[in-house]
Amino acid sequence: MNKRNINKKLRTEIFMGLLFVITIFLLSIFNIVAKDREFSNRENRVLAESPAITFSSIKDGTFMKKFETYLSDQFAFRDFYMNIRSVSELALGNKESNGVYYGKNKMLFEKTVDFGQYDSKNREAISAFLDKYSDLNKYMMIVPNSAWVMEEELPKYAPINDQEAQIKEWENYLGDKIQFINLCDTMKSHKDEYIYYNTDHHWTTLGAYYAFLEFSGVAGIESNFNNYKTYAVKNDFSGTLESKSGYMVDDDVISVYIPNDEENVIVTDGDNVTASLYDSTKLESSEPYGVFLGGNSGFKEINTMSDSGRNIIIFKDSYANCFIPFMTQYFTNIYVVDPRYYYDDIESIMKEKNITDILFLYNGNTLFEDSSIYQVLQ
Amino acid sequence: MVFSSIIFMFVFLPILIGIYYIVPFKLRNLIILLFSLVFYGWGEPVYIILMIYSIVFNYFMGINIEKDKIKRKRTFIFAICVNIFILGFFKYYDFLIENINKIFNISLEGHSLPLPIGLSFYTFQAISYIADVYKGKVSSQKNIISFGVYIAMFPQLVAGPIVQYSDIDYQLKNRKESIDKFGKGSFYFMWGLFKKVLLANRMGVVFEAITALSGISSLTAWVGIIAYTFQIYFDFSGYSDMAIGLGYMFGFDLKENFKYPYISKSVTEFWRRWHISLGSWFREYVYIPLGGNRKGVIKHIRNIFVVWFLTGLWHGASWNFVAWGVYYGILLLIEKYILKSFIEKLPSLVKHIYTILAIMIGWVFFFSPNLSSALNYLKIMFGYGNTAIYDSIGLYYIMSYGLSIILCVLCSTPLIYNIVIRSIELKKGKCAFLVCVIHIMLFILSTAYIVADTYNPFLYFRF
Repeated sequence: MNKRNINKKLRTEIFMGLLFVITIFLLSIFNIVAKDREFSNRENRVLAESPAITFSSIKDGTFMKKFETYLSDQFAFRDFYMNIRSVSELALGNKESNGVYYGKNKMLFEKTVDFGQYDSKNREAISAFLDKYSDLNKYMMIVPNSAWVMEEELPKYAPINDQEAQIKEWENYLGDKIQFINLCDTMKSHKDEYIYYNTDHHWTTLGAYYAFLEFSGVAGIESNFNNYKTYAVKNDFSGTLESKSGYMVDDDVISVYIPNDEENVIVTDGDNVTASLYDSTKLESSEPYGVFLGGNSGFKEINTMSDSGRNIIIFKDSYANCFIPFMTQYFTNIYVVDPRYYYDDIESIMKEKNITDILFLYNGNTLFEDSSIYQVLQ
Repeated sequence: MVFSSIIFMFVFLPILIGIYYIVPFKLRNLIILLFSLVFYGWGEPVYIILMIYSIVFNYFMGINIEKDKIKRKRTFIFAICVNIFILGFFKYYDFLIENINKIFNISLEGHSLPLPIGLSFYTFQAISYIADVYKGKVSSQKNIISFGVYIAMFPQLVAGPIVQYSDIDYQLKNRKESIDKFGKGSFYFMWGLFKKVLLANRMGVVFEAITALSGISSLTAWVGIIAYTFQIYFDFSGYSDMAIGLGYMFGFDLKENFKYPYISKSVTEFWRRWHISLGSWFREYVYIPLGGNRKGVIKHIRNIFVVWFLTGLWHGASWNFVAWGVYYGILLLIEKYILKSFIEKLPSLVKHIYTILAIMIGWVFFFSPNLSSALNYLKIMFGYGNTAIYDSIGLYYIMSYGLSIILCVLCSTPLIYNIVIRSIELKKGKCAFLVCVIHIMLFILSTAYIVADTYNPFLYFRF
């Protein structure tokens, strides 16, 4: 290297040194100046706050851990950095983040799951439960998830479970103890329609309606699409898959289907009694899907205007929340149990409420990994 | 604390740079020492006591060895034993108990204490100091603060490079900081951060995903081992680069720890390029004192096995690390005594392929929890038994990370570095400007990953 080159290299290093110091000091100053946020809309979660300093928390190191989480959560322009990371990952060819696939047409898909460790326990419990009520109408629907239904939309070679086989396994296990409504073909045949949200792991109200048509055929109900008017209640729905993965895709639309004939219902959820199946305050919350039945809770009772005399108990996950509004015209009382949040006795409800129908309604991912059904049905 | 964290980059480092360059020169070592202790204690505050003990103990031992001409050998052996004992107690006690239990079929309890961070590294530095003073290579360090800086200096404290005392003795008192050195350090730091965050961590995701699967195909197993091969290299060399860079920022010249090990044409060459500071340490303080290769073939073979047994064991208290070390011992002996003339005649490409294959097979022993799972993984890689040649999972990871793997290959060679240097030398200042801006962009990108990502482990923290 001649002298000129050495000079050039030296100047480069001086410039680099200055640039580096300026960068880290600037970013540090941003962090000092920026105000702490309580909640991140982008990630849909509460952010960590500055931890209190105590001698014991320093001694055992918990203060340091919390402080680092705090710094990361409150990092100035955090959303900007999250976007950089997502874009960089996609540019490098990685189409998966935190259990979410980035599909071919800017759609997000939740990864499918294997059977969890309580799956066989749940099956046994349900089977034993059905044996006790052999004279009632019993139905089961396991909704396949969007990743399986729209498999060809997934990134190439993306691993996925054969949910049809998984659902079939459940169907075969329960045999003729229950009327099993297999939705795989139904959902596949409508896969080009808007039956699953792009940004969220739920199905849309339309998806639920197609399932309801299948259900009505088996349950002896007549339903018609023309009986409903649809209203889009939220046009900028950004769901859990977006917040989990950090990917940004187009917003979703939440629609509700209101029957043409005026109906009155009474929804009782603990001490909370309302006259609506919808909780519009949820639309502006962090969980807009909670607009249906006000979200999940252990037990809800819905009294309708129907004079059918049928009283149905539903064991369900959140997929049922937008399905249940279709049922109100056909069942006099609807008892909704979410085993994940339910800690009371089932037998007493079965006896006191004069139950005529039982429905299990789950999506595959939640059912296969569930750890609560067997505890409630025991 | 780790370098690739927000607390380090945007709290610790700016404060340290600010204070370090404001205070007069006399106080700078004290500042480095205090910050190093905070850096060390951030993860496990209690072990600061161990660190201070190590500093004080070795400080006095060094002085004693030099002063007391009669008892110096005894003091030397005592000091070495205490250092080895501390390392042995925290790192190998449980392993020893486990083996005793197996042999005698009893059930003694281990202590299950967490391994103090960087213990394996700073113990070796302490031994280097004691040995250098004993051999008269250097005089003992009279200033306890300077000595504390040598043992606890935060850049190399956690994961090396292992600095030999004779290399840094002079710098402890007489180093010169300058802005161009600082800039050189910035280059190293940002490049190391990029290697750690964007190459190693992302390869780690692939490797962990693949090893969590069961019933994988040969293809998937290969993708997995390739990912691990890059993860461990960029993780460790990235950390070393950051350490070297931080050293420059505060005026220290630390030696290069990695020199593109994966472009080696033989296993012997690989170990001259991989974790150089560890290799030189074992050479200087184990291999040569044992007689090296100058006392006949039998002793040479013995010495090689001692060194590689210890090298393996140093990496972790588990038999798979020993197997990994001994594997290299055997390969090196074969290369030296049997295949030397044969290998030399091979075409370059074949030498490269042979070497990288040997290294990858080595990593299988390294990452596997035990020998049988290592052999099992190798069987899958080479299609032995009922293994599918490929499956869609393997193809999926190639689709998702193929580009990143190509990037890793490029960064494993001096190609990019040479292009950068050539363009700075040949073209106008514009190019240099561009290189600086690209480094800052990589720094921002790395920051984005750190802010957004929860996955940020350091492999070498276990050692």
